Amino acid sequence: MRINCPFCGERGNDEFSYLGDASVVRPDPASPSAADEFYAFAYERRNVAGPMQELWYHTAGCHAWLVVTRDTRTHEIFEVKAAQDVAFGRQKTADTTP
Amino acid sequence: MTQTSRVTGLGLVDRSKPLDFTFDGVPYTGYKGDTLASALLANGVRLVGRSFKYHRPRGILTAGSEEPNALVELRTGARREPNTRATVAELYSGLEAKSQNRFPSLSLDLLSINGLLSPVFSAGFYYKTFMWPASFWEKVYEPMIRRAAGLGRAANEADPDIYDKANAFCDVLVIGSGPAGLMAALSAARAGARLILTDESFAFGGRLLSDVTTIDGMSGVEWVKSSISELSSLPNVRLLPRTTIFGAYDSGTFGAVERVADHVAVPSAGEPRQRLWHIVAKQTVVAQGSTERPIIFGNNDRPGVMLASAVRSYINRFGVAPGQTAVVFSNNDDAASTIDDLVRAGVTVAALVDTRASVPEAIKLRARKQGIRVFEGAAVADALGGQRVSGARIVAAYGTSHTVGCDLIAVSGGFNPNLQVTTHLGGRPQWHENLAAFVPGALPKWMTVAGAANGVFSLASCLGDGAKAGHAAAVAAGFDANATAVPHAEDEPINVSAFWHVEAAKHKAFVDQQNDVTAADVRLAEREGYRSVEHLKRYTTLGMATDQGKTSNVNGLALMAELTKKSIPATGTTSARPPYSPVSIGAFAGEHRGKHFKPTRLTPSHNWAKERGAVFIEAGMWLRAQYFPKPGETDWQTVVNREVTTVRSGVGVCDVSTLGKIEIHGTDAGKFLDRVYINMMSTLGVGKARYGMMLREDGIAMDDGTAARFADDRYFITTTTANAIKVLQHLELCRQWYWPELDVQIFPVSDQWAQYSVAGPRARGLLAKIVDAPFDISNSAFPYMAAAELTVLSGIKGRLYRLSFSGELAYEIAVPARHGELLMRKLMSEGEEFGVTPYGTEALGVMRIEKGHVAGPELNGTTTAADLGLGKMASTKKDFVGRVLSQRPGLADPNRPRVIGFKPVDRSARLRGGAHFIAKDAKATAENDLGYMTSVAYSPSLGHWVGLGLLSQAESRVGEILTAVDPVRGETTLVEVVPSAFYDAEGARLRV
Amino acid sequence: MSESAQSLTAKNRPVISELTDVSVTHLAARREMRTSLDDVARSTFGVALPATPRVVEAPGVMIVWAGPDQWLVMQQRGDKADIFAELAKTFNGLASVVDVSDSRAIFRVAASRPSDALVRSMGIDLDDSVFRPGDVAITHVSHLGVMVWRLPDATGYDFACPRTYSRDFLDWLGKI
Repeated sequence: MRINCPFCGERGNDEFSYLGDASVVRPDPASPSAADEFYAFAYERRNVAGPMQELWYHTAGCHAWLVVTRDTRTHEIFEVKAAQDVAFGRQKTADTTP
Repeated sequence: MTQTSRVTGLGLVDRSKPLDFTFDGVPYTGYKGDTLASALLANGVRLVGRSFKYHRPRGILTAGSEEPNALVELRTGARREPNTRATVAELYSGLEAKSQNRFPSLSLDLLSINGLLSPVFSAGFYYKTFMWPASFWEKVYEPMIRRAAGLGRAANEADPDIYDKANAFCDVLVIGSGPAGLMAALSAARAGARLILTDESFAFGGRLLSDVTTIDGMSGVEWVKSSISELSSLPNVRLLPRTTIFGAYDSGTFGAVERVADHVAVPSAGEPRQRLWHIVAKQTVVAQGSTERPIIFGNNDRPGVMLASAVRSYINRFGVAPGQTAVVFSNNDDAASTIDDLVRAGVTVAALVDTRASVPEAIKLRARKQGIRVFEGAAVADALGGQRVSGARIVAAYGTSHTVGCDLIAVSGGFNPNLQVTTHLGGRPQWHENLAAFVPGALPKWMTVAGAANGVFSLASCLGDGAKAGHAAAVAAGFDANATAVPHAEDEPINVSAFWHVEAAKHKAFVDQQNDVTAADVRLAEREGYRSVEHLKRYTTLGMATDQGKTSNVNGLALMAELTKKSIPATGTTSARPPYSPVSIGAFAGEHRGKHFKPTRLTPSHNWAKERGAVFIEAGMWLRAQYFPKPGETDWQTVVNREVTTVRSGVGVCDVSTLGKIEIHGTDAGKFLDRVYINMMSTLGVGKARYGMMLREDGIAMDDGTAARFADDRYFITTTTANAIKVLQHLELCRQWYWPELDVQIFPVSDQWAQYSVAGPRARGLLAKIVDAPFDISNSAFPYMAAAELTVLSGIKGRLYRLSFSGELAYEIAVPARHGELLMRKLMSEGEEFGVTPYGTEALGVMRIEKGHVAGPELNGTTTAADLGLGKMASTKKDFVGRVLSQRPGLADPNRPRVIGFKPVDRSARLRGGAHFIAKDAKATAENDLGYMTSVAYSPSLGHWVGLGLLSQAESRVGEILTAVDPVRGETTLVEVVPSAFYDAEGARLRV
Repeated sequence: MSESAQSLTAKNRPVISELTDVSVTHLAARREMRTSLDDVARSTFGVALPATPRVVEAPGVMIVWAGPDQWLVMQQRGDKADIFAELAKTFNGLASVVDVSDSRAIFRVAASRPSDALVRSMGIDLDDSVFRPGDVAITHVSHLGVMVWRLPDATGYDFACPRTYSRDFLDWLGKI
């Protein structure tokens, strides 16, 4: 599989490390239900068959974290974005910072 | 020996270049351009091996990589290579080959008695026969099966050859160089695309080398020559002969193996034997042709039964007549060319047996002109003969039976497109009724299939299909060009009428010849309910040999369809997994063997330590000095004791450059570190350092280290050696993903600094001679946990930290890595008056255990900060990664095992890491397990062994005597639970 | 017969030298300071900081893209005063700067075009037509992290590998 790093260009997946679902967001630690929310954040995952947003790290390249939209059935990659940009976009819509 | 079966005037082999070789010790001669198989046939050798289960005599069935039978051992000694297909092994001078799986000799095989015991070896025999009694498995059944059913023998010595790995990028990859592949390559290359053309053979041309054809008025062979010469003249083309594409992977990535020097006895100096290619292609044209199918009849595995297309290959490409009298057995029109070629090679064709009720008139005429008997609506029911075919029993219409003498049966049951590569990514082949074959199903966007692989069989349509596919691939890869003209060739259809197996067979009829699976096995599987293709395959092992069922899968499937009275598509389909054909492990390993198995990192003092006689240890990627023996010191314990004692009483130096080092800068650096460490870092004063711990989000300890602050917006942190990369990745996640709004910049600087621990009561005296004036190193000016940027050794920019892992007055001094060796040498020479010693990782470990500091064995991915005795470090004034989940009841449970110290009750006893703690009078059972010993060392400072371990209800057990049980070594030791700091518990020695 | 087999026997190895007298400063833009940083960099060096994987040259300095909003500023050390301290002052508040002169060993391969062996050995497309003069890549070879850039004047390739791996890296480089 090859991933098109928005900074470095297309590279083989041997240059990247996989973390997991990018749709889960670190909860607000001040929330009254923080214990449950963090539990879900750490452990609860959907097992998506189809397009999924995932976090990948360009270990052997520019050290950027990426949000990769990949079809888990075919490994087709539809979109790759810098995680930092996605995180900023998310913060604009809802302030989730601690 | 003379090449009795070589035909004058035919073939492409170079008769001016004879090559000597041996088979089972007998010397023969072949020609350059031969395969081992063609050379054996030229010399009249028909029997080349014994089968896997029944030890049946086997010959050569095919002329390509699909060969199930002619597997031989090539070469000798360290280069001995088993299970090599004689049909693809390129002949070279001095080649030594041996037949396999025979005892004591090929023609007299005592184990062919397996054939008489065959009920034992029927489908599912592994599961049924050897189930009971269970105790027989290891001692009786397995050794018996292994001896009786093995194939070749691997070499017993290390492979002396080198293997290379290579990468290639291209716009268009064309796999296969037959008519379709060559046309695709020409079209794409003429359009300007960067092109790679591969072929598994040593010669380009595919079927054009094996059939008599005319293209644009020239012979097919001449057309191949002119096409290859055009391609090799183009700068955008890479030709890879002897290269098998063994797997298709995601995003247009392919694995290929190039047999660089398999066609010579020994590769020339520096030349790799094989090269593993990693090819990235924007577009790919699969043009791997097709594989002829055998028809299942009695004794269809006898030497002399050969695929019709292989017969033509041996005649036209190799100039070999594979028999003297032939029977052609077919279900399609291709038989006509087989007859023509046989006749031209001087082989008597005794009969054409066609399963079709009516054979086209043109073919019948051609046959009769040669005086060949034609049997319509007939079949060869059994081959006659033992080690070689001596005749064919033909069952014709109305059940009449005829016996025809022959030594060759050329069989054709139709053609299976070679679509394996199209299924590697999950593509499902589709059944094509008219072709009676599977054709490629849905393909990845970047893949097309052309020619016979696509179910397009006539020469003219192959050329056209290839030209179209090559042009389309170039356009898809971004090239704008006109389509290439398609050369003229004949358009002969090959009407095929499905026919799978001959009911009237009296003898064993093989479906899968490599795994010895018969039609009876398939029937048995059906009777016993293993009817799905996946079950059939696993129950009978059909298609599971190294040929992956290239000549057997579709036949097996068709047989099952007949038995279950279902259509073939309703019964299943065939798909393959990489590798297309076997790939040697050496090719996958490449250069990564021996000392290059993994990279080695060397510390800045490495050369000096080597000179000093250090004993090194591999720690992850690092090579670290473990201890430094002095002349006369014979055992490591003596050395380590001396190193520890010298540090505790004088001064020692240890290279700790392997620690991960990271600069954290930015206006929010302090805030950022507060969120990743459990303790406060924003309150750390400039010029100070602090111990810190990081957790994973699930509350488990991730890593520990120190943070030093050199300016408001400038921190320097260290990680453990093992976790350097993991921590950096984690910090980048926090910075980019969790808190992108913070102004933080992260710089990995592990390699920038040489960093040495200088420890012991005399450390200050030594360092005073290293640091430049006017730096004040006194205890009051530079106290415990101070940090400073300074210059050392007359102007080298360095850093000094007053940190101690050993428990003594200690510093860590750092200089840019290029000065590391100089600094070490200076520390040694200036330290002479203080009795300085270098110390290694062993002494480092002993001193940290004496101090009760936790390290890797305790930070083992299951322990929390509280388990490690560091719970109080966690700040309650802020959030940090892992805080919320570390407070889960399970992790906060006071009964969780925590780190505590252990001494042997008998002070002369040795402690063992991994020993489990059991209450003194309890039985050593899992239920009574209280924890285990994580780290042990002999403490020269205390004169006995000390240990750290994880123990349930640790604090309340201090003073208790427990049993430490080491079932691995069979040792039981009484231990006393003690506080974990064995040495200077108050830390007085740190602060002097 | 094959192109690859030919070049293996070729003995015309390129000249490889190590750059030792170079000061390397790692520059990372402070948050929301990119525009001001670009202005100061342009007036200091006379060239803009490359925004994509490129290397640019100006008299006495080579600036190598080193990741998003990050660069390596390479200057001949010679007997100049403290190059790093000067840069730190220049970019104070606009960029974080770290002296990484000793982090990497830098090898220069003098070659106007890449050898076939070099192209084959890299996991990125180093073809003459693809990896152009001035291009930069951060990648790995043979399990070793490496930065490679093609000199803007097309006279060679620089390889920067972590210093502690340099012995293995040289082994690799010696084979291409």
